[in-house]
Amino acid sequence: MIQMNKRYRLEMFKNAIRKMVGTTLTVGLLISNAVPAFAQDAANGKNLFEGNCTSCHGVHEKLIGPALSGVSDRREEAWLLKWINNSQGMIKAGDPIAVKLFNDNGKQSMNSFNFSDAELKDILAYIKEETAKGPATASAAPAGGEVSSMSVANNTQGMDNDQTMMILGVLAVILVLSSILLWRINGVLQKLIWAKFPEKKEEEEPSWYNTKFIPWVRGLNPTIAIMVIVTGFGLAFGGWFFKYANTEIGVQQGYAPTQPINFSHELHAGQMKIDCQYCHSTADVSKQASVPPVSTCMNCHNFFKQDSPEIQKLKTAYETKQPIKWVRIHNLPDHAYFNHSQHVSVGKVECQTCHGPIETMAKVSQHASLQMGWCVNCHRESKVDVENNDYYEQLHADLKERGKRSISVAHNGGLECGKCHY
Amino acid sequence: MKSLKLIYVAAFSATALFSACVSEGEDPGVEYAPDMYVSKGYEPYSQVADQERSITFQGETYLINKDGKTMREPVEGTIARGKLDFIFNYAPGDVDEKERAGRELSNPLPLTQANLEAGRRHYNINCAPCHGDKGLGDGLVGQKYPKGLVPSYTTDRIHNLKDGSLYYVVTHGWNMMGAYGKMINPTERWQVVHYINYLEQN
Repeated sequence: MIQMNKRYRLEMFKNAIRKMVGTTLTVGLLISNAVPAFAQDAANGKNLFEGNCTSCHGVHEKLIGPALSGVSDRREEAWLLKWINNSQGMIKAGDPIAVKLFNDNGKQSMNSFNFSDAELKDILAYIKEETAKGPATASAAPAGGEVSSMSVANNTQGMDNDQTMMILGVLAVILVLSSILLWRINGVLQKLIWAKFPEKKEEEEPSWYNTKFIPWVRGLNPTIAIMVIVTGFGLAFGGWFFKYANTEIGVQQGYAPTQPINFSHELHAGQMKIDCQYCHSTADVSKQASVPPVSTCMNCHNFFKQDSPEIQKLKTAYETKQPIKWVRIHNLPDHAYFNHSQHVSVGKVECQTCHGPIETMAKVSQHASLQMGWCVNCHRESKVDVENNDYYEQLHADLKERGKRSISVAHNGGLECGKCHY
Repeated sequence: MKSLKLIYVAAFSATALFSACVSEGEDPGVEYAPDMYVSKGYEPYSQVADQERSITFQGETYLINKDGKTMREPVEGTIARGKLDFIFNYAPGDVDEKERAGRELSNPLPLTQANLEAGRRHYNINCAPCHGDKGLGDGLVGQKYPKGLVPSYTTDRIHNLKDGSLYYVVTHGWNMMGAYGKMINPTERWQVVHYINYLEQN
């Protein structure tokens, strides 16, 4: 019995091992070269890879250099070892694979490194391990997805607002039409009742309209009445026109044109917190807050969101050197002078003071009216910081002499006509 | 009945007329003297592609600029007056050139508080989105890149870069980093180099 038991157990054990080996082999086949243990130290390879290679290479994504997943399958190891340490030498020597690689990757030469063979094998082991893990673990994928879904969400929200307004409008029209209809039906029914039962009409009390209003109107002098009405209308229209001319003609507040590329300040300045002057780099030194050249966009978008149709437009513009025709929003008439650098550098005015909460605008609209009253108001209210600004050194000394403590821009000539109109 | 209809028509047309004049969305609203808004003079960012702004010479018509831009690109190989320090004789994207810049150039600006402050300002505007405000490669944009692509200034590779090489990288860009020579002028670039050194040491 005991012997039987032992043999039985042995059989079971063998079976189990067979099964295990079987599964391991299947799994191994399934995920190709993932499971076999590496003689090399992938952890050391990881350190070396992240310290030296990640600036140009990703395992799963093409950056400056090609994506490295499965590189050990594509090339022989001896070739790789030689290539990593002396790529430029190999290109010069005319190695066919090396020359083709160089040409396929924008003729960007790769740094020469000084790794030992063991270190190189560690790096290759690490790449092998990452290849097996697959691109799902790459950090860039979820980040990119997140960003794109956000901008999509913004778009749909905008559409929803338009649709809501349209539905509300249609409902309002239906409401008005049905109430008119009901009112008419009511009148017709009333008339029918009166036609059938004439005594009902006499039962009704004579209305205020019939007894008082109509006789009063009949008693009025027609000439005077018409004059009064016309004057009333004239005053009302004049008042409306005065307000309209004051606040609307030549005032583009709220203007939000569609731009050739659907650029979102909300994403770039709001979520990514990129400084305004990263793109509008001349705001502190020039009259204009410059519109960035396409190359500025390409600083980041040579990597981010390559598949987005908007970025495709950007890339086309970059490659064909065609300027993008942005639509100007803030536009002062020629007879008013405005200089960004005065306000940004000397006045230390925040961009948002005039441009509104730009970091929340998915589509930019003109926040301020840019009317003269608006300019002048700010000039009256803003105190000049004479103490901490070298620009006003002389002014500050004079003020101290006269015993004044603070002045506004208006005191400093900010209300002179010639300051802006010349 | 007729008068009622007239009133409706009048009311509708009035609303249509008045609402069309209000600036909103795609509509800039009514402009008084549009010439004052669309300037006859050549403004820096105006784009003039129309025939009106063309020059006819010996029967041929030339647009002011072939792209319709008012701004002109400088002629290849020329440099504007007072911008001599913009000349930078090192080819972009070349390891040897980068090292040559490191050997030959040194920071012409003294390390003063003012230069460091200015460097910080320009660093925070132009570099911090990727490199982070402490230079650890952890800026909000930098985090979106694959891990390790934006290096930390504490790594030996960056630490061993000479000032001239740093200046070269800021000017021409390096690897995935774009060229910033068009965005910040030479003085500011050297100030940024000072500030990067400051970050590396702290």
